[in-house]
Amino acid sequence: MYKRDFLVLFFTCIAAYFLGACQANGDFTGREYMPDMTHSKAYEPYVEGRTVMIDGDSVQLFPNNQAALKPVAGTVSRGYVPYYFEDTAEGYEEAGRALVNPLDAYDKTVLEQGKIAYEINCAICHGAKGAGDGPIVKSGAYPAPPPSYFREDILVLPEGKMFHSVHYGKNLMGSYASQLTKEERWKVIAYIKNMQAEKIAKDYKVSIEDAHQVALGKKPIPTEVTEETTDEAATEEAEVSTEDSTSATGEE
Amino acid sequence: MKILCNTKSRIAGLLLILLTFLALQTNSFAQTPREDPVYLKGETIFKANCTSCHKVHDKLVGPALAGVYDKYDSEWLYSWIKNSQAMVEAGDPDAVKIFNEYNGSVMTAFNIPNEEIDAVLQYIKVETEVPVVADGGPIGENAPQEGSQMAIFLAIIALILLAIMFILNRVTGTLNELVREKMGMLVPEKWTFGDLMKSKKVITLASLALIIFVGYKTVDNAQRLGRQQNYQPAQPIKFSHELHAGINEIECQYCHAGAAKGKSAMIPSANVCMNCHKAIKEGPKYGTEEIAKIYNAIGWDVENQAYIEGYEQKPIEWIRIHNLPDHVYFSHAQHVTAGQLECQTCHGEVQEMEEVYQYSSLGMGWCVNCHRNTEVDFKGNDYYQIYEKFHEQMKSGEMKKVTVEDIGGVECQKCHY
Repeated sequence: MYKRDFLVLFFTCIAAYFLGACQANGDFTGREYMPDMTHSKAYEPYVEGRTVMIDGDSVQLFPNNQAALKPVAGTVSRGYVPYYFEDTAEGYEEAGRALVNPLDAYDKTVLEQGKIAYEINCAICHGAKGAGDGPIVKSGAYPAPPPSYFREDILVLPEGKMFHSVHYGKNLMGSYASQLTKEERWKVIAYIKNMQAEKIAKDYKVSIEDAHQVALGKKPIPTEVTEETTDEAATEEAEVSTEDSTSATGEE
Repeated sequence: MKILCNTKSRIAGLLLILLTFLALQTNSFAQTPREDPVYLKGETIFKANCTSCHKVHDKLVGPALAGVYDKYDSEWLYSWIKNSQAMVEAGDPDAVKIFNEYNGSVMTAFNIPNEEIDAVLQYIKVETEVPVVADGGPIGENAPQEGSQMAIFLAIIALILLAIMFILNRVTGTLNELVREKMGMLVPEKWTFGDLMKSKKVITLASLALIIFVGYKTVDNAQRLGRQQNYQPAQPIKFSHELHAGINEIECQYCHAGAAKGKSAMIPSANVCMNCHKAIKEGPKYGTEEIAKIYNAIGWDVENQAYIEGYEQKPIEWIRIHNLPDHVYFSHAQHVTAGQLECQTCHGEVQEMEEVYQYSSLGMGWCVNCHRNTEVDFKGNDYYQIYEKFHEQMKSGEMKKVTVEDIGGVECQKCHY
């Protein structure tokens, strides 16, 4: 009797040991017990659509059996603000004139979050310091390095043009509209402008406020070293233009 | 065999040295056009200003520049580079032709002196006409072969030494026995394999060990049932995380942009791939084959560097690796943004995986263990501001650390509802 019990136990163990064969490996997903509790009735992201029986016919609910769909034509998501400028050379110029960063360019959190978004999305090509020497450029993997942010014409590139380029892409750079929300884009731009202003302040020995004005194209690049501080008229002008453009930029 | 191998590699080595010597000599005597200061100046300007749109031999955003110095006269090129848009507006036939051919993309106006443009043209001329000599080619090819030959050689030596050791051991053993027998000493009784198997002690020990081992494996296997640790499916594109995230240092969230914002980390759509693969048309391992699958999905015409109009785009059907059961709620944003966890904590060193597999079990014990042990970083994280009591206790030193458990991380309804 004792011996038989022992044998039963032993063989159960051996059988259970072979549960190992039910485990995922390579292409095999492994076996599941109670699959009903594992697979959601509601559609999770990236799952296939299910077929349903309607009047005896099996019908696919989704085109190509793909549960992820594009928004219905003519609808927009909540909080969506359209972008008014077209993807043309004129649109680029117009955006450069009309768009102004709605965020506070001196705010610490804006700059910090801008830095995070910059390092994730931009630094790979443009470089951590913005010199156009990101890891894939340095390693030679990417054959078309972007210009440095400190090239003379880009140093004073209007923010609106930068926003336009991030939205539609420029030259070989692709559009980042799907990865960065409008607010995030402005944060990134604030961060880049801050880098440029720091460089201007250092190179031309002007105050950081002045350097910001120069980087935004509101003041010419200083020709010689001056010790002048912020010009009141320029700041006022800047404020007026911010108010003008809030309607166009909007917030997410 | 041994000697043959040796002489062969020696000859190869000698030849190699000779070849490199020759190569070095020819290099040092002839002044190459790539050492010309004008060329170097042109290279610097080209790399700073032109590379984002132009390549010498290939079409990018703008045309390939090889031979451009013969195609147009230099005056035309000067004015084109300085302000191409003015030429188009003035109705210059060549200018209008290029402008239309490239779908009206405007070339940035570069206000640089003529001699700098000449330097760039000189650079393009050299790049067009003088082929690049791949230096170090033969050395690079031979080196790994030499290494593997060496390894085989060492392995053979090790095997021979082992064999000699074994034989010598047997010889001394037998000699010892003979000597003992001759001197009339007691020869210890030999145990045969059969005797060993019948011994009660051995049987008990072996069955005990077997039961413990099998018992452990049983429980372990039963727990793993339904989880998919080590699942490593072949994906429709042989995408290497090692190459993208490891060697090329692309941030995880560049492609998985949802990780910081929502429940799903997101699989990048093909337009994200195209951010780099408009320019990178060939991979180091599979050449153009795998990258062509992206072009096929999104409808990109490699020849003309443009999207095919009216193309019916097909999604790339990636195979999902990580699946949590329906009865568990999980949000990436909570862990990545609020918790500030590294992706690798749960997904393993993905940047070293050629093919991704499920690193963690994703079982409940695994979740709870981490929630019990992980310390919440209160400093500078606004998300945790509401835990005022803990903040005070931390300040007064009453609490040394706050774990996820302390802020409710193992309560049932946090994940199951």
